[in-house]
Amino acid sequence: MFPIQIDLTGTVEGFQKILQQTISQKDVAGVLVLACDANDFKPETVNTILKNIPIPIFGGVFPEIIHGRNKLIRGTILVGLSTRPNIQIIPHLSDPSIDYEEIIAQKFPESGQNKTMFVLVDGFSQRINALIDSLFNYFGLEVNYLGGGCGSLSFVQKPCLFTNEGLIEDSAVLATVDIASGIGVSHGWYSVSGPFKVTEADRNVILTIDWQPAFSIYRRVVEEAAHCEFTDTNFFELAKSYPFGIKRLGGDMIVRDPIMVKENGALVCVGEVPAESYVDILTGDTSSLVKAAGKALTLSLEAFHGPAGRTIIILIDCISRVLFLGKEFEKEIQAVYQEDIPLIGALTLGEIANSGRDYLEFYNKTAVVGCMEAK
Amino acid sequence: MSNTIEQLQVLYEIAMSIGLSLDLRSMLKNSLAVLLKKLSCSAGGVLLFQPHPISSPALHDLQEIHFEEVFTIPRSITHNKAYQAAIRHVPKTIPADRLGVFFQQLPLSGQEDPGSFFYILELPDIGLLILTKYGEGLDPIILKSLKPLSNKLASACKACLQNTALRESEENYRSIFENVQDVYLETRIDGTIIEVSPSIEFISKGQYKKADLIGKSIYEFYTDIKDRGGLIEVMQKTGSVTDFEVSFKNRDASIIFCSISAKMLLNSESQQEKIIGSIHDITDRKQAEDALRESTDYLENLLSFANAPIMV
Repeated sequence: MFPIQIDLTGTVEGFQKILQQTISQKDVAGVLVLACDANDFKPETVNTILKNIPIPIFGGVFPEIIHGRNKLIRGTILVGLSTRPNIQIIPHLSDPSIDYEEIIAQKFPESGQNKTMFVLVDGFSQRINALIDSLFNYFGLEVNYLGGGCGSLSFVQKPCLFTNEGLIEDSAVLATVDIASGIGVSHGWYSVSGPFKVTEADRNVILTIDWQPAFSIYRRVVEEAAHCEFTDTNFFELAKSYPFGIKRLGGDMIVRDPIMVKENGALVCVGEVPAESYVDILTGDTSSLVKAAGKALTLSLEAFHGPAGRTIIILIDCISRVLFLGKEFEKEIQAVYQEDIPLIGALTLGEIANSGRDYLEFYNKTAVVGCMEAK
Repeated sequence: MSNTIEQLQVLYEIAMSIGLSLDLRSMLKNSLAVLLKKLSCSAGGVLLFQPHPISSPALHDLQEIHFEEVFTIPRSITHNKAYQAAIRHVPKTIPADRLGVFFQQLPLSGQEDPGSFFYILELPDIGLLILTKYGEGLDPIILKSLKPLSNKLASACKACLQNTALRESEENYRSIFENVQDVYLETRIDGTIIEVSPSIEFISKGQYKKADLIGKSIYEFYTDIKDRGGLIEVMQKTGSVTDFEVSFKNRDASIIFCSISAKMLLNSESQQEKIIGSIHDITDRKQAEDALRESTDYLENLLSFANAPIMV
């Protein structure tokens, strides 16, 4: 059983109320929290509650969340898990000196029989990719991964991860559960121009493309494709429709979302773009994105090999797809919604998933669907 | 199916990721991760010859070789059926003279289950690369194109192993250099000291440290500078000296008797460049010899009076 509780008020009292309802239910051995940034939960208001929970609790604060066919900008969703999750916190997710693989090995000495790992990270931490690589280097395909970046669209880093220790920031929360899952990943963005060679980059900052300031190349392509010019104030408005795509053979391109241009013409992206990589500039439309969300659902259902019976769908969808699709985002939810299967989800700052078949990735502007065994 | 330009881009990116470190684990971690990501592979591993030809005799001199798994992504790969199927195709040990026959079969590919592929590629003269992939198999053109990349990966592995061997050798020599009781010394032909081992502190009874001597002239320390002239003269004739006895002045003006074993080093133009050698403190031996000589002289004196009555 996956008892789902929802509070639409977004208040601490509302959160406390549904939390008590969830943990008082028989067989609930752990709790997953999806909360909206607009709730404005702060450590000083929720830490006492979290520290007094007698069972493991984990989750995140997201720009928006999903319940059924509805996208919520305020509110909290709690999911009661009948299987006790093994929750581990990886702190200091921006520290360049840390070897996350060794920390993961210490925290998970036995990968055991856990089938699914929820991976929630502070979306503003600087070494998310290093954590993702370390997770795959340690666990490989032994577990299915599902999660994403937490935080606020204000682009201000703040405590956004729920744990039994309180609301924390600049960390990752890894929760392994013995619950079968099938994961589907798809984005629907397609190339409008490229390839371009990333000649200089520093983690998530593209410094130069073809040895020219990254923005000069990007600007030329986007202004031509969009028939619109960049001004001092409209970068994100225009750039949200033209992400970068990193190529790989035998798989969809990995999308990288440019969110800021620096004074030196460098482009700041959500997620790393390695130097010496080739990128395309992509675009999409409502049809391609909605179709991709449906494809992610199909892939997740095909990949689900759990016991027949009740399931739940968890949609991890990038908040930038909401910004791109606007009102038509409801079509994306509709593409994933199944009449007889509960749907919850989070609109994230980057998505973390693997299809159970190839390398674990940190995605941007991508729809990830997890079909979970509801036990 | 990807187009040729996409394939070239991806192969270029993989090539650029290989060999960025001289630490084997670090180099493989980066290279293999990029290789797996770019080819949408699910796992990979590198197996190297044991004993490997870097630290052992040349490959053709080895009797038998086995493959040792030195790095995999993911770390624990026992549950990856395709990888384990690949491992079953790798002989546990193989006579060195049969290695060529085994390598002729490579690249070897197969399927454990439908849609679960494995590939075994040669890392020339050093080992094997194993890749696994779900879904569609690797494009045959890509598989062939991986050969130059596996060659590059093999070279990078060799460089790492050579670096490790060199570092171990350096550490070994450093340890000897720092712990030997004799003094290791390098001087220019003009006598300027350019290297001296820390054991100078021991031989000088704590009166000189290495830093006191670097850059000084060795002539300052000879009790008789003719010794240096004699040493150079012999070395110019024979290129080296063995147990050449000299004496040095300590800081407190006491004399240290030494024997020098040294050789002249020439530069690439066959000009004398420097002298390297070791200095062994023979002061105790000299004192014992002097005592013995005095004793002998004393006895000889006594014997010279043997025909006369000896009063004791």
